[in-house]
Amino acid sequence: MPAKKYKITPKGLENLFDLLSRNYNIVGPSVEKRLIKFKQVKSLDDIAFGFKSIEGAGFYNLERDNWWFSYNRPANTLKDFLHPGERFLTEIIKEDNEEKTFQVPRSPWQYCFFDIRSCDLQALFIMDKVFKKEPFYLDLRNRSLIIAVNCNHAMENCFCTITKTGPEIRKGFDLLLTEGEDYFLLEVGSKKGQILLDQVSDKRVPSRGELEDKNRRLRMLKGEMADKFNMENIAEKLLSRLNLTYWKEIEERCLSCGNCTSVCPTCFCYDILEKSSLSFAKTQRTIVWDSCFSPDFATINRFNIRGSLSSRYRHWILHKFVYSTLHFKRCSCVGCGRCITFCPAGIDIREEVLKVVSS
Amino acid sequence: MILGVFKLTSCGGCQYSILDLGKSLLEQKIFYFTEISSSNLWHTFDVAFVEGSVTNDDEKELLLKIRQKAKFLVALGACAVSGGIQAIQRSKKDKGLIFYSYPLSDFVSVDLELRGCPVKSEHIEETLFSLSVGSVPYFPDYPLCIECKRKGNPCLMITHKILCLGVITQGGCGALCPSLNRGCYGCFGPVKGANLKAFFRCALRMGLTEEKIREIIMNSFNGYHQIFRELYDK
Repeated sequence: MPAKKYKITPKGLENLFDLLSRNYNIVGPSVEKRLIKFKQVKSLDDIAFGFKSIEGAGFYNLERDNWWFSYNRPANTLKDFLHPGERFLTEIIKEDNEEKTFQVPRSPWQYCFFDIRSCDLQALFIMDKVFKKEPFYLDLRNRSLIIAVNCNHAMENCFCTITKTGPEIRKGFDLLLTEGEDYFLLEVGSKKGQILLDQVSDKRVPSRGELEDKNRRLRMLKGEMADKFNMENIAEKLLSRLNLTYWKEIEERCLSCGNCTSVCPTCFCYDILEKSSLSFAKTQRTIVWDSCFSPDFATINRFNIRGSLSSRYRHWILHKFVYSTLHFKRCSCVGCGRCITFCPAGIDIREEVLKVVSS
Repeated sequence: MILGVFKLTSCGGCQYSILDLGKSLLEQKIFYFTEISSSNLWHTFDVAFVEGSVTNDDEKELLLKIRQKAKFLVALGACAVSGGIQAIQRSKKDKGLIFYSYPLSDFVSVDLELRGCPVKSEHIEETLFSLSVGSVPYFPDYPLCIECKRKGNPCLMITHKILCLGVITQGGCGALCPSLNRGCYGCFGPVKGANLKAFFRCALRMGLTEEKIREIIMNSFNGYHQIFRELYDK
């Protein structure tokens, strides 16, 4: 079935948003604490329209722009909602009569992820594979709705053309928006999306010129991103360079703080913490994000197999570009560039990979 | 379990973290705790909590005695772990010091170090619970950043462009200061394998001088920690 395409006005977008807010908890990019962040929003006014982030290696700033969707992907990821940093998992209570009760909470939210860019959508496909049997994630994911948006611009840190995860969105959405001169192109990707769109008034069929305009824009966008390295045979290239002196050199710069793994949309490692009361009556379990940069992450029975910082950094790079291609048949770096922006040491993963594969 | 709580040179705040446990403390046999009782007894302690740093010979002697009596010795808080804020005088160039402040580990072997200024009562609870069931207590051994990101905070060094010691500080406090847009002060002390070289590089990039960065670290709660001592030679 060819995807159905429509054209709506800004008024139509408002109409669509109202419809969404009736049935869903909308999560969209909004300005908070000097940056654009995914958070729960109430109305279209909360969306960070007209803002854009200027990002570099270890640098972030906000500016004004005259597009609706002038910004790129937000600073945080959908992980914050589907696989939160800290989540209460279960509570076990021992009653006076020695009987034990288990409490497992279910999330009340029914999310609509508004404004998902190509990189984040691709990241979601990887997370779907990782958590395919995790009830909390599955429950939320199955009930969620995805409104994807094609990017207008590329930032300094964007590199989805290298990882082949963008910029054009082709599948995995319920509705897809593309900004035009004074209209929005809407493409339907699912039944849920179609039902929703049927209720939107004020929509028309786009002309051929307007459809071509979208393709022209996306082609231009591709040109905005610099090809810093090549993904061809990257797995073999990296695997054949495990003993480079380069890996030692990174110890001079990397803080091993784990900021990169926390902001990465596909870093999924977690830990389960247990907290018991001294009276033995209650135990709580919390699931929290873990990071492979944590010094004792790879400790197995008191033996740490990745004690050095360089081995931990190497593992992270290898996981992104090598191991995940073995597990999920795709590279788990989606080219969003968050790890570059939020690295306090200003380490640029593109340059580091380039250094490795070209030496 | 038979407990003993001792105080050397310190403000005494960490002892209150023990009292924060409230009723559940009543199930423990506390034989020595001058803060709450005037009848104290020397006995073989299952767990001895020692708060404060060693600043004179009397305290050193007391510490050695505690070590002999304790099956499990816990250094409680920044003072006991790294000399505390009173070790700040070492960083001052003008001499004429009345006393020097040392952490416990300079004199005796310490079984467990509880970080923080003050320590978290949850960590004391975890210690007591784990020891009573015969397991190893678990504490965060990773940088504060990981805990901070779990809370959903963006990195302050990037968004607010302020220096935050979180990148070299051990987690455990729940990212209190960064959650309120303040840079971390490092009360939990340096994380295992803290990369000082990279930290200096990073802070220099933010426009601070090497002298200033050294001063910030030395004047922190854990300025005289084993990991930071190399800075004093410069």
